[in-house]
Amino acid sequence: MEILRRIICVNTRLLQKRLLHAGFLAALLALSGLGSGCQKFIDLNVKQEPEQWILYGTLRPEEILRVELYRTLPVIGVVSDSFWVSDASVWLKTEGADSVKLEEVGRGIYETAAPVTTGNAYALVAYHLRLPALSTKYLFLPPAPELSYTLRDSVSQVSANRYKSLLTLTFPDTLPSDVVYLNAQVEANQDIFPVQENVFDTAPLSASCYSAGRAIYVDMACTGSRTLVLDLPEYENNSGVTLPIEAFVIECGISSSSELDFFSALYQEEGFELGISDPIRLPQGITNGYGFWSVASGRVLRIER
Amino acid sequence: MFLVLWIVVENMGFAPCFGQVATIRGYVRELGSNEPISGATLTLEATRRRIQTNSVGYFSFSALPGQVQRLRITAVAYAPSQIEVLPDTLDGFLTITLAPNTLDSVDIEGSRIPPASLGRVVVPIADLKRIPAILGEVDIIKALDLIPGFNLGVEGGSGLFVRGGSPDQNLILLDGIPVYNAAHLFGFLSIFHPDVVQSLEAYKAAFPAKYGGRLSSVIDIKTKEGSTEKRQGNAAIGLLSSRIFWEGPIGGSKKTTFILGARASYLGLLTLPLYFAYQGGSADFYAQYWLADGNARIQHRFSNGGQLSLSLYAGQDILATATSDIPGEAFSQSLQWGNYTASLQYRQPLGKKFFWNSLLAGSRYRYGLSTKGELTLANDSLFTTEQFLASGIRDLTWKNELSWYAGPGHTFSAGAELSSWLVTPGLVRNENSINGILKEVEKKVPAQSAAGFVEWNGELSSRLSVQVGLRASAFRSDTLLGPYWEPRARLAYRVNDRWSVQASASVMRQFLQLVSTNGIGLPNDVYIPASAQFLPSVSRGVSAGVFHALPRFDAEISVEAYAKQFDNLLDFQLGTNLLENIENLEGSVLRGGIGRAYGLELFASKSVGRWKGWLGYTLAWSEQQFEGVNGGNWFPARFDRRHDLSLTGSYDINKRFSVSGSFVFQSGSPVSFPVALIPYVNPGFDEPTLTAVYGLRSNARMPNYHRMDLGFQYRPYGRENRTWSFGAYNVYNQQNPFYLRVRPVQQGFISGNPIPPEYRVEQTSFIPFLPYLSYEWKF
Repeated sequence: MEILRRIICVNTRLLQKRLLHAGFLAALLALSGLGSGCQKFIDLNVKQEPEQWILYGTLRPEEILRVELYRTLPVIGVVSDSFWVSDASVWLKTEGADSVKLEEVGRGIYETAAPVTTGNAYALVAYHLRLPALSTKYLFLPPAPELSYTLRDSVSQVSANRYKSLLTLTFPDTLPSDVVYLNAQVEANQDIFPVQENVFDTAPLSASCYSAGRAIYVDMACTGSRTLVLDLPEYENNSGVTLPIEAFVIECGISSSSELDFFSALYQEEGFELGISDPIRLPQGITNGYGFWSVASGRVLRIER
Repeated sequence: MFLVLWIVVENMGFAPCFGQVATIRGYVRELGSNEPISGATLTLEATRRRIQTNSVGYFSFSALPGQVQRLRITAVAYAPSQIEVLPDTLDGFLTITLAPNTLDSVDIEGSRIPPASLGRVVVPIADLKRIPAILGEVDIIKALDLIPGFNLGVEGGSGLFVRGGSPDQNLILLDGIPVYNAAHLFGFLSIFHPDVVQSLEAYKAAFPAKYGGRLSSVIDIKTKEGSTEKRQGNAAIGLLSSRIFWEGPIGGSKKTTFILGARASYLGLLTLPLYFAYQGGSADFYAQYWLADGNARIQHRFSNGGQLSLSLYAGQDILATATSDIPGEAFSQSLQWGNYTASLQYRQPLGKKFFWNSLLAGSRYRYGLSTKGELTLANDSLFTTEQFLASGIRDLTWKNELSWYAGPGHTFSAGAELSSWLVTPGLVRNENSINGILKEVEKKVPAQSAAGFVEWNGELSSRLSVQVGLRASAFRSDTLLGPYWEPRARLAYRVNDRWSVQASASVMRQFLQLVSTNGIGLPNDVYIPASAQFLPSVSRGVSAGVFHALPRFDAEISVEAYAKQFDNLLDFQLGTNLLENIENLEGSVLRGGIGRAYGLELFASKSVGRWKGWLGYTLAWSEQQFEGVNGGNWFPARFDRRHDLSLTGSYDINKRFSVSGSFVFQSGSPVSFPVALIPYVNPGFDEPTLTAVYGLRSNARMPNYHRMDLGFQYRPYGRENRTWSFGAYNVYNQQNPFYLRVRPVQQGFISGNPIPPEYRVEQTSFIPFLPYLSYEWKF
């Protein structure tokens, strides 16, 4: 989840929607006599869904399980700011073992006392007086994959002030055929600007780029591939001829798709302009709830230059 | 079978008169302009047999020689006429002229109303120009909204929903050429120049077999041929656009004629100051809109009755916007779409009983959306990113139709049609200033179609008439689909001069579907040709109607009922941007949907006299079912409207002054409304991001829609060729829904702390009370 939470993406499509919408409305306004596009509040007869759970939870090897529990809010009416679910009874179920109760450590945040271990399948159940019981399916938490890699042409200059890095990462054949994710950071001692580039032999489900001073994040995920060529973006460095990269930090692992699907849908949300906007369907893999219950089993490699 | 043939032969009158039959043939034309009048009804008084003129006003029928025949000719919007002819004397072509209905129309005995035809609508263009319109912009497509069975999707839209069908299920023909997007200005205007159009015939049932490729309706628009008498024209200046039209003969023979029409909007000029302010840095936003279209047609009439015509149309819309309201960021966008059509048509009477019509036509429709962003980075370098999305269709069609006027009241037609298509469901290109092209995908689908048809229009007796047709069609893209059989039939029984009952049944197939996530023509619309993955959609429809003429009032009342069933419908997958998933349309589009539509239409019209107008009411249902949507249950289609009422009228106070008005009421359209919100707290933030959760499709309805328009026309004394039109759209300023959204309403503070907001549904309306003024003069 942390990986995906860092996604701050210059999403061209959203910009396009925004612009198109603005232009469209402006054209209509101009047509209709400037300012005549008027608004008023109306009562709409629509049946609202009963409150449901929202679960954000990811199992990580040898880490304490931390889940966030919220409840859905009504679309119409007073939206309470207490959207988290406190005082819930939350249990982590393990096949062939006793269930473990999670303790509330903050508003709507629950944790196990001990880390979860790989090689087991886990499910979560939660109870609350105001909500129907929440339950998830069992998810197997695999060990982090052994990752072999080759670093080829780690940095090459492709043109003036532009550099390119290429890493080849090979996964073992025993890797579960689920989502493979990568989080590549480049540690640099000066500002450099990366550009995302879709280079995988299977299409990335999500990709973003972010320039944050000394670090660059390239969050990507793809499916169905064993060997990935991570063609790190070309870097532009206008401040000097020497590329200021000090190290590559790559987190690589496997994850269930639910977390990614959820955030992919979340970022597609375009507002409530009914009649214009496209309804978004959020994936729903949780009984009586939304959100995700996923595993992420990764390993971090730090490759010094 | 033998019985049927016997009835046909017997009723053609071959047996008693074989070898002694004379033929009356010719054209029905408009008095003054000589424009052809299609669909005019000629009634042979002696036998009460009827025949209709074809699309170029041609007719031919047999009569007994040596006997004076009395013909009665009626047509919508024209004063009826009676003539007497002696068939023996007619070697050439008879030209019958009808005068447009005016206050001076000469009264003749009998009904002045042409006989009604089930599912067929003939829109009188001259009357239509008097209907009040948005900003006074006359629009023939918008006027269809006032007729039962036709419905515009949204305020100002031009996507017609016909009897529960989607807009792409309408075959819109301009001089025989399909038009794929008939909208200017997001639908506020249609692409049809009102002065250029000679006739508009629309079918919502009982489709003639020569039409195919769409499920719900045919809207056949024909341009004028051009006056043979003199060069003349007219021009009009409106608040939104201006238009000019010019027509006349070329040379002295009056055999070659031309028309030219052009239209342009000055919206772009009005917003030029904002554009310059943006360029100068004093404004952070601008929007520019340009639209223009042009029509041209040249026609030559040969001495042998043949006619050759070349018809051209070109139209383009451009919307350009830019914003730089965030420091360091500037974004611009350009949206363009346009239609280009060309057709070459040759029509030739062959002998006295045959008529041949050949059409070679091409059409191109394309829209594109380009977006450009400029970001100033921390090191003051400039990063640019561009995205281009486009889609379009090209087609080339060759049609041939041969009609055989076999006997009084009997016409057989047969024809064939070959089409070649190049459909571009989508083109996507992403690039930026550093990497160059990041993504470039263009999906093009070549396809071919072939169709053939036969049809018989017959008067089995003076009371009973039939129209029976069969169309066969095939389509090939990645695989050969078909042949498919599309039978059509219509039966009409005249109980007496006032009452008639009619029924029809038809099967239609569509090989090109539009998958749309909204009804306003934004670029998420994708045309998908039929293939092994996307089977052609089918509609099977039946309809029946009762028609009652009221000659005393020059009025007519009708009730029509219809039921349709659809198969192989497509729809968008929730949460999918079709254009961005163009490589994987199979995964982005719902397939195999079925639909059903049924309803009842009441129509009362008065088309002659000082008072003219009509009242229409439709009670309708339209539902769809897709696997995986709403649990596989039926849900209201986006174009489901339960009630649709329209009242339109005009009154000629005198020769110089007339008044017109209309009132429309429509039930709210279905929308998919969120059923819950999901909060998500981004790290480092306290306030949650709220994301909507959508439940069942079409789980709510927009508020009802209604409005009234009024218009006046004034021709100054001594300057009757000039017309002032003024009036208002939405005279009582009804705030009709254009779209809805949910907005938080701040409730105030308690002890300095904000009270949680209340989320309410906000309706945005466009086009309030909107007066208009336009000036038109003829030269």
